[in-house]
Parts: sequence; C-alpha cells; structure tokens
Amino acid sequence: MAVSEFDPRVSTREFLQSGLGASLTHSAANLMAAAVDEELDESERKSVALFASKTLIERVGWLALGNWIGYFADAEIASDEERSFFKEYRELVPTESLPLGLREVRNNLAEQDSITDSFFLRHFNAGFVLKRPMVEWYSTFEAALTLSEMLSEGPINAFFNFLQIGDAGIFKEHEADPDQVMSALKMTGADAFAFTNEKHPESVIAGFIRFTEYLSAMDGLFPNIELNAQSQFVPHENPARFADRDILLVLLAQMRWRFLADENGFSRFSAVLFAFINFGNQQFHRERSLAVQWDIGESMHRIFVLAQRFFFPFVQQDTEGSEQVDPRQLEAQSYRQAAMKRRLQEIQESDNEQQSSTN
Amino acid sequence: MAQRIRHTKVSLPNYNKSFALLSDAAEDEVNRAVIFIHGFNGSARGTWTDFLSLVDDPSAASGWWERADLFFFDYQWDSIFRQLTNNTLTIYKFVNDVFPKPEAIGRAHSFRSDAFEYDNLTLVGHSEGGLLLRRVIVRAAQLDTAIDAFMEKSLYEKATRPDPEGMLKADMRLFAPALGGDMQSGIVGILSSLPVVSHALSASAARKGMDQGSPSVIEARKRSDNYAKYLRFPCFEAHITWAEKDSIINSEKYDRDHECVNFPPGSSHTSVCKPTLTYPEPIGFVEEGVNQYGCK
Repeated sequence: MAVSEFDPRVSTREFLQSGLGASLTHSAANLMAAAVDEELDESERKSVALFASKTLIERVGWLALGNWIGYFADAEIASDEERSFFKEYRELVPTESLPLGLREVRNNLAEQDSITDSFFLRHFNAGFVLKRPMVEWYSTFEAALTLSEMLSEGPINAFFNFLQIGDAGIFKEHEADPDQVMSALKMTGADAFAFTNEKHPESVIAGFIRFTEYLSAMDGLFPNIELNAQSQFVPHENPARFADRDILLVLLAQMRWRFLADENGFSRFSAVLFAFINFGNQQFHRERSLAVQWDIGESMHRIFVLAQRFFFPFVQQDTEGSEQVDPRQLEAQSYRQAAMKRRLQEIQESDNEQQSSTN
Repeated sequence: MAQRIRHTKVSLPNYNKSFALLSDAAEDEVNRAVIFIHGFNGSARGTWTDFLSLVDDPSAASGWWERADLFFFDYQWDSIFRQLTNNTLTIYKFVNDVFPKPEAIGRAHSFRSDAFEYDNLTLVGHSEGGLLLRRVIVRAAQLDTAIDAFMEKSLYEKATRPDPEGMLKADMRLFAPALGGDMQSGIVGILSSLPVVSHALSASAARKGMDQGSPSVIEARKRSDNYAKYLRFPCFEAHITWAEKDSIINSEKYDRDHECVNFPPGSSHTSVCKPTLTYPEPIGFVEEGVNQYGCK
C-alpha cells in the first residue's frame, strides 16, 4: 500500500494552533494579563505570575520532548512578550524546583538569548541521546497530548489552582450545592479560568470530577498491568511495546507541575477528596431509593491509587520499606524497571547500528 | 517488514473539541470513515483515548484500520432526555459532514482532495451515543424519499427494496448502548458514570430512576425495528457488546440487533469501549462486530 511520509510540521501546527499548545498559550496569556491586575493583592499577583511561567514552561517542554522524539518539527518556542514576562518573574521558578528535563527549558526562557530556537530544540535531550525518530512512540505520545488538553480547560483549572494556593478551610461546614456543581462542570475554559475560582468549593469539586476522568483515561493509556515474569497478560518475548509506554510515562511525568509534590499539595488534595466523597454521599443519600449506590471505600481507593500513579508518587516512596508493601508489587516494579532498561539499551544499539550503516 | 501506515491527528475547524485521525495511506487507498460518538458525561478525548494509541499498533489493530479515517465527535452532554433531540440533530449534521465527502476536515489543509469520497462508513457509539446514533439513522431513513416510497408501496403490493444511500450505508457498532433509555440524570447520573466510581447494588431499594418509558426512547426503537424488518440494511441491525458489570443501563437490544455472547471479563459500563494493551477487543469489535473471535 502506498504511504505518505509522516510530516512533523503537521503535528507541530496542530499542537500550536488548535491542540494542547494553543490552549496553554491561551491560558498563559490570560494569566499574564491577570498578573498585572490591580484588583489582586501582591501575593495573588505572584501566584498568577508563577502559574503563567509554569504554563509557558509546560508548552515549551512538550514542544522540546516531541521534537526530541521526532514527532514535532522546528518551531518558535516562545514569543518575545512571553520571554520578557518570563525573565521578569524567573526568580519565582528556580531551576532546582523543576524536573531535570524542564530545567533546560526554564534556563532557555530565562537566559538564553544568544541561541536560536532551532539550536535549542536540536540539542534538547530528556535524559539520553536519541539518534532516530521514535516512530513507535508517536501514537502514545499523541494520545497523551490529546488527553492533557483536559488539564487546562474548564473547571479543572479551579481544582489545580486550589492545590497550589487553596485554603482547605473552604470545605469546612460548607454543603456543596449540586446545581452549582453542575453549572461549574459546564463551564468553558474562559469562564472557568477566573483565578479566584479556587475559592469556590463547587468549582473545585467540579474540577476534581474532571480530574478523576483524566486519571481513568491515563490508566487506559498507561495500564498498570502485572508486568512480571509470571504475568499471563504479557508475552514474555515481546515486552518492548509495554516498556515503551513505561518509558514515555516517566518522560511525561516531568510535565506534572500542576500537582505540588509536597505536604501542602497532599493535604489540599486530601481535603478535596473528602469533600468530593461527602458530596457524593449526600447526593446518593438523597436518591437512596435508587437500586444503584456507590461503594465509597472502593471508589476512594481507586482515586487514590490512580492519583498516586500519575501525580504524586512521593506517597509511594514514603511507604517503601514498610511491611505492608505487597512483595508481588515490588517484583512487578523491578521487572518493569528491568524491561525499561533493556528497551532503552535496544534503542541505543539500534541507533548505533543505523548510524554505522549510514557512515 | 512492510511499514505500518499510521494516522495524523487533525482538529475539525467547525467542531470544537472534536478531531480526526486521518490515514497516511495514499488517498485512493482510503475507503472508510469511522465515526465515534461518546456517551453521557463522556468526551471525544476521554472516552476514546486508547483508540488513538492503538489503531497504529499492528499487534492490536489489523490492516483494515490503515484504510480508514477516524472521526471523534464531541458534543454537549446533559440529561439524556432533555438534550436528546438537539444532540440527534447535531450528530446527524456531523455525520453528513463526514460521509461520503469529509467536508468537516475543512479546506485549510490538503489532506483530502475535493473529489474524494468514502465508500464505507462505520458508526460507533458508547452508552447514550448508541441511542443517539439509532435516532440519527431513523432520521436519515425518514428523509430518504426512496425509502418513504418503498414503505408506502409495501403496504399494498410487493415493492422493490431500495439500496442504502448516504449514511444509511453504515455499519453500526455499539458499546453498552443506552437503548433502554435508562440513564440516571442529574448529578447522581454524573457521579454514577465516573469511571473511578465503584457501584454497589442497594439491597432494599426498588429500581427507580430508570426511564424506560420515555416517548423518544420508545419511538426510536419502534421505528428502527420497523425499518429493520422491511429494509434489512446493516445500519438497522447494530452489533452490540455489553459490559460484564453494568449498573448504568439495562442491556436491552432491538429485535434484529446482534450481540456478543461473551462479556469482556471484568468490563464495566465505562471500560467496555476502551481498548488497552491487554484488552484490544474493542478494536476488533469495531472492525468485525460480533464476528470477531472474542464475541462468539
């Protein structure tokens, strides 16, 4: 069958003009405007500026990562206006606060006037050198990009803002109104964007509902299969396509700035989780004649496990060494890590072979 | 080894949040449009994500997909009964905008030439999306003058059955469709349909909140069954796969529908339509319907 060549310029254009890149540009522009809003106090303005800066870093991060694997083409990584804004507020985003892969991005936005965007993208690497386009990663990368659009639109903004700067006290003695939660769920990007939405419990709960949908979809894309020697699911001779997803998940985890991986982030997350559970309980209680109710314990467990996998793995680190860790889980984890290592080695070797045959 | 033909993702200019995956095969090799319609509280991106990642994977998807363009439509969900008519009309317009000529892609890019048309159409729905597709097809049949004349004439004499035209050429693949119209609405409906929410059946409660008697739902069934009886077009005989554990809908099909005998193990209402690396069956189901191995 005849085939046309994959054109990275098309995917770049899609990203920047109508996909995740466009929505991050839009969010950053709104935040940059809000950062000089005189109605906000000094600390609020700083928070807004921090959000704007990290939103810009995320967009450039996706662009650099996609370019590194061959999915994106050369592009302008930031406008002059965005660069000047970032430089003004660069102290808010210290290099060491970022994951390794994004530090280069931050430094480029903050300091590197002398190199071109093309040069930056050509020399970017997210931890190791790739010498060929990783075509087998494109579809998963594309799906992850598409899914990540959910994180910057609608009420989910209110939830993430809350995680960064919210006051857990807003849920105390407040009974969330279901009609307002429904309205918040229907908010468009622009309505939901109001920076102060994180002060409205209904917006935060609605955002949390959207967040759980994102988590489930991520779980489909990066399934936590029992990738171990005994697994009935994984053909032992072909773990590459499984390992590829694990590698991509590690790389994409660098974009998780929206979730503070510290005690504040975790305690705010817990506050929202319990508010959501209380809210759900009240709603099902009102409809207690329905044959179908929810299983609170199991639902909470699912949310927690997914959030732990995709947003705050530090919780898992805390439990390392504890007697409660399932030994099969540890075995699966170490098998997955070994499979990833083998796969990376394979990639490197195939690169070398390709290069030597070219030479 | 032959190179696997992949797809390129493009947005659809007039359809916010909807998108397409266009085959990189030469245009004259592309012969099919596959349109995906999500359900209540779903979205084009969240409901079908894993199709994006797997249709280009030769271990999960056959060469059938290489010749197909995929369209993922996003619409405003709400109470199924309040929005049913609006959503039916919106989806009808969208399907018309894709098949046979993919106008929905827009003219800004040269992905498909002006003369290009698809030969085949597959409509895929999940939950409420399944019910909406049934209504879309009924509407298309009602507007088809040849069918109208045939149905009229059949009342009195033997008439020649017309061939399906336009979207009536479609194959229909439905995942846990809400054909019984039994979706819970409002905030409890949303909470119930969240993939992370695990369900428990109330031991004492009566089954309430199931709106099987909605006139729109009954009408969709009555008309589809009638068309199916006279016309025998594949679009009136949906292929259906149900979830193993479904607390959201009643598993109710139309008279001539075909259903998978085996439920995907461990599947729920929300997961049944989502292929993964270890559950590629939804991909085979869209291609082959109940003829796929896992269904029999």
